[in-house]
Amino acid sequence: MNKILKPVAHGACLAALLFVADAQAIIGVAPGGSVARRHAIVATETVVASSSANASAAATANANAAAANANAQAAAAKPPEPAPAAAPAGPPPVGTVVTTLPPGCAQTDLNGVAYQRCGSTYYKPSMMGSNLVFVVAQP
Amino acid sequence: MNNSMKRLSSWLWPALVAVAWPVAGHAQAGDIDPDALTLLRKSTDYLVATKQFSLVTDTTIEAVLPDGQKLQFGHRVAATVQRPNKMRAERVGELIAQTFYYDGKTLSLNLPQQGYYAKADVPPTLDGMLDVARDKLNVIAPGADLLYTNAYERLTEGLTSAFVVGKAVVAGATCDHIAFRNAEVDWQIWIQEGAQPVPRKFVVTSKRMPGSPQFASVMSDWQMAPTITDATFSFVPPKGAQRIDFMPVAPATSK
Repeated sequence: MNKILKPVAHGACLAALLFVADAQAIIGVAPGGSVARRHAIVATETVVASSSANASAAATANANAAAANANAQAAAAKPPEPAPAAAPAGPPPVGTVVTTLPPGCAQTDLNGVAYQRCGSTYYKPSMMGSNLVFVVAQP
Repeated sequence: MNNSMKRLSSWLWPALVAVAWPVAGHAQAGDIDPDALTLLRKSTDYLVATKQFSLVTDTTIEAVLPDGQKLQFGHRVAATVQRPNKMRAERVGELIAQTFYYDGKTLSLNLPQQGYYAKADVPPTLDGMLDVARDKLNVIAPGADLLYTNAYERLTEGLTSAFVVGKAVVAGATCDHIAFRNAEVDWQIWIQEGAQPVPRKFVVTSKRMPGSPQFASVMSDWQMAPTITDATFSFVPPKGAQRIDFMPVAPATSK
C-alpha cells in the first residue's frame, strides 16, 4: 500500500499509464496486485499494445508510448532528488490518483459526493477510462 | 555433416517447410493482394449488414515494462450489438467485473462489485459513441475497429501490404488467415469460411513500440439472433449504488 501512495509526486505518472491506450488491462490487476505496487513509480515508461489496427489510432497509441519514453528519459536525465526523508509524514496532495485506498476508510457523503475518508484525507471515487480510481480531494 | 546434425536437420525439415510454404507462395508480400482485400471486405460487409449479433471475445494485451519485461493481461467480454445504436458489453474476469450499457443516448458503466456506476451522454450512433468513448472518456473497446460501419475503410487506411497466409483453424472453425501491414502496426485477421464470414481472431502488433507488444482477440459464440430484452441495453442503477464521474481526459503526454 505504501508503495502506491508513496509516488505522491508521481501521481501524474500513474495517470499517464492509465491514459495509455488500453491500459485498463494493467489497471485491472492493480487492486491488490503486485504489478502496480512494484511499478507504479515508473509507470510512464510502460507501453501497452494498441488494440486498433487503424493506422491513425495506432499512431496515436505509438505517440503516447513515445511520449512516455521521452518523459522517462527526461526524468532519468534529471539530477536525483534529495532523499525523501520527511516525505511519508504528510498527506498526499490534492489530485493524487490511486487505484487502491489505504486501509481504514469510511464513506463520507458531502455535497452529494460519496467521498472515502481515510484518516484526514478525502478521496473522491472516479472513473478514469474504465478503471475505478480514487483522487485525493479537498471537499 | 555429423550424425547428430543430420538428425537435427531431418527433424527440422517439416517445421521449416511448414513455415516457409505460405511465405514462399507470396514472394511479393510487400504488395497488396486483392484476394486479401476481397476476403476482408466480405467479412466487414457481412458484419455491417448484420443488424444484431452477440459474441464472446477473449482478449489478451501485452504491456512492456521499462526493463523490457513483457506482461500479458486477459479479459473475457460478452458483447451484444444492435445497429444502429445499442450495445452492451460485459467484462468479466478474476479481478474485474463491469458492464457497459449503450442505449442510443447514454453510455453507462456499472461496477457491481464496488457499488459504483458512471454515466455520460454520447452520440446517437454506435460509431459516434465509440469515438466519444475513446476520445472524451478514454474508454476503449478493444478491437472496436470491427464494429464501425466503415470498418473496411478504417482497417485498410494506409495499407502497405496485404496477403492471404492460408487456411487455419481457430477454435474449431476453418478460417482464412490474412496478414496486413501499415506504417504503425502489423495486423492479422482470421475470417470464418462459409456463409457467415465473421472474424474469429484479430491480432495487432505495435511494431514501433519498444518490445512490439501485441493485442489479440479470439471471437467465439457468434449469435446472429441473440436474445434481446428491454434490460439488455438499458441501465437501471442498483439500489444503493453511487454515481461517480468520468474524469476528463488529460493529454496523454502530460508528465
